Amino acid sequence: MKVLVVEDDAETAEEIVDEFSAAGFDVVRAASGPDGLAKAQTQVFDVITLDRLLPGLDGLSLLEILRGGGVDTPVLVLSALSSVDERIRGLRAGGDDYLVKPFSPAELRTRVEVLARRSPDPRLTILRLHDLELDLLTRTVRRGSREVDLVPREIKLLEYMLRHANQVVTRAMLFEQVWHYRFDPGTNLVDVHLGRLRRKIDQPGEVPLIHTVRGRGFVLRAQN
Amino acid sequence: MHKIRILETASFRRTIGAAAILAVALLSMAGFLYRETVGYLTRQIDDALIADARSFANSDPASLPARIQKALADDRRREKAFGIFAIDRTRLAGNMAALPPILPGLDNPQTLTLSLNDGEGSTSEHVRIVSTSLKNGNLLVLGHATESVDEIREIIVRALLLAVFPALAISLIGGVVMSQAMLRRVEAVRRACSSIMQGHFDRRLPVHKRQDEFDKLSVIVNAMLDEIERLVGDVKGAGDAIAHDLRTPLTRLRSRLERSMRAISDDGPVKEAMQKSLGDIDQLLATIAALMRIAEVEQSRRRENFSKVDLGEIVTALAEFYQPIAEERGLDFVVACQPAALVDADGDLLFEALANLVDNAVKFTPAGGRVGLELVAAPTGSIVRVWDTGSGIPAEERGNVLRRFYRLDPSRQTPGTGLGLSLVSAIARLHQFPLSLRDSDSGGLNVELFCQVDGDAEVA
Repeated sequence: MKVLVVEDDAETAEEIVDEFSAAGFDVVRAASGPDGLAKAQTQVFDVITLDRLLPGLDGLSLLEILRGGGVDTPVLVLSALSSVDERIRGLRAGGDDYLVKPFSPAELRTRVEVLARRSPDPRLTILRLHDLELDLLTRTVRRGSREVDLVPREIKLLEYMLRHANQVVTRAMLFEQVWHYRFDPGTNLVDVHLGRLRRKIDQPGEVPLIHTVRGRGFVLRAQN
Repeated sequence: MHKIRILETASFRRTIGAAAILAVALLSMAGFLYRETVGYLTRQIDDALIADARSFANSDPASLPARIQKALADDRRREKAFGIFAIDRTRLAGNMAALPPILPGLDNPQTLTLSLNDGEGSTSEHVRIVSTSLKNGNLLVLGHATESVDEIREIIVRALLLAVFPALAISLIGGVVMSQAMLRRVEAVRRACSSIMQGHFDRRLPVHKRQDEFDKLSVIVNAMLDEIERLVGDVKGAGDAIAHDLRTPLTRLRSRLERSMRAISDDGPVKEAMQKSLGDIDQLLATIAALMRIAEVEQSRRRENFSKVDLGEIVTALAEFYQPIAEERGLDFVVACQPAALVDADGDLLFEALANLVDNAVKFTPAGGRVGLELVAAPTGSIVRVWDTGSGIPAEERGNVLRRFYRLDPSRQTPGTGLGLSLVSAIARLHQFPLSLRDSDSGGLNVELFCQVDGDAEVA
């Protein structure tokens, strides 16, 4: 996977590059806005991480030029500005995700992985993994022949996990995407919800589908 | 601070004093005017009487009855009185019914009440009289009615009444109006002060262009407030700056530690120590994040993300989020939600504040207890109530728990940053929603956030 990191702060850039290289990504770094724009326009990347405040060319302007030129590579905007307004502005300019500094490099890597793999067609109404099946029209869940009884929020949680099957998702991502509130509710709270979902989905004797990835989050997949 | 009633105001009392002085001044002026006018008129009458008396006395007594008759005939206003009396008090001529009881000389005119014949009958009149002897020994008494003087007195008394009462009434009304104007200014100052006492250090006392004594005082107080705001800002800023400066190195330390840990394959004591350090760094980062969050909320004076928020939606989402967590901890989670009016608020912040309250309730209530989340409609807004059957907060500690880093458990055994309630309090202040902590009926703590429909009525 090839990632472009547009970041002017040397130490932050080093951290990101280290984390990405350790994960086996092919990393290209740009230290200024114009440099980032030139690289993004001339090479093909799977994901771009873009600092909001850059010398030479502001991150959001860069993003607008990119999108205007037809480059639709997923972009994750990094910013020290955490207000909701800033986040909305970042996403409106064409960003696909927004992460507030300082962030955990693991969180950034997980989000980049999720962005790189385009999620399945959002029009799909039946999501499947192994013998797990979620019918979004009837809001029913089956595990093989067994019908699984889920409350609405658990269905949303499962839907998000199914759309990102085989990818690690972080607690913060789940909280943002499933509950739509943006603050840190404390790590173990999301775990409680996921634990309940896991007990309903994975019963003794069945292939476990929901796995905890230590230090990162959770993953829905058929193999360990 | 209670409102001062008009009668208690200094300006009203001063007005009453001024009105009393005015009344005394008017009365003495009228008295002086009366005395002078009456004196002048009386002297005029006296001079005329004396001149007439002298002229009569020097003329031939035999011609007098005819002159008197003519003078009386000419006296259309019937003001004049004449009398010629013999030594034995018999009336010889004139309109006086009888010889007056006293006979003042030419140098000493007197006012008497006399009975006069006016041709149709007799009338009793106040008359100024003088008397003198005629050449033939008879007595001549001349008089002039003081009716005009009496009229002057009546006019002055009437004028006095007409002046004093309206003047007093106008003074009173003026006093009330002035006091009200004064009260309005005092009220404006009182409101500004109470808002400042609630923590709005950016508020200032009103200053008008007039630059009167009130404005001069306000300018001084405002300068004092500027200084206080600067000092408070410095203290806060120092804390926030420390938090900010610690955050980046800590984040780097954390990721370095995490990367190093990945390089260690075995689960030995080194890895365990690193794991613990990572936990401590996370705790530090959580504290810093909470501090910065509070600072962010406190600094957002513009309510940029405010919109009409459905409290029912927030409470339902909260209930849904915390239900499994409460169950996991062996707590009975009771939710009651009444339909509520929309409030002007930042939905995300409100959720965060309420989540903190529910989180605390769940954290501090022992297993087997109950935690409640209620939305209750009130006439001017809605009340979100979070109660529990935990150990509660002693009354004397309730103000402290809203302060940063304050924890009831001095040994700090319970997880947390000690900043949760400070954040709730900051969010409540931003919304101007009153936050109250008291004992719950069921023994624990009862926290209420009163979400007013019109939260910015007092402080614009």
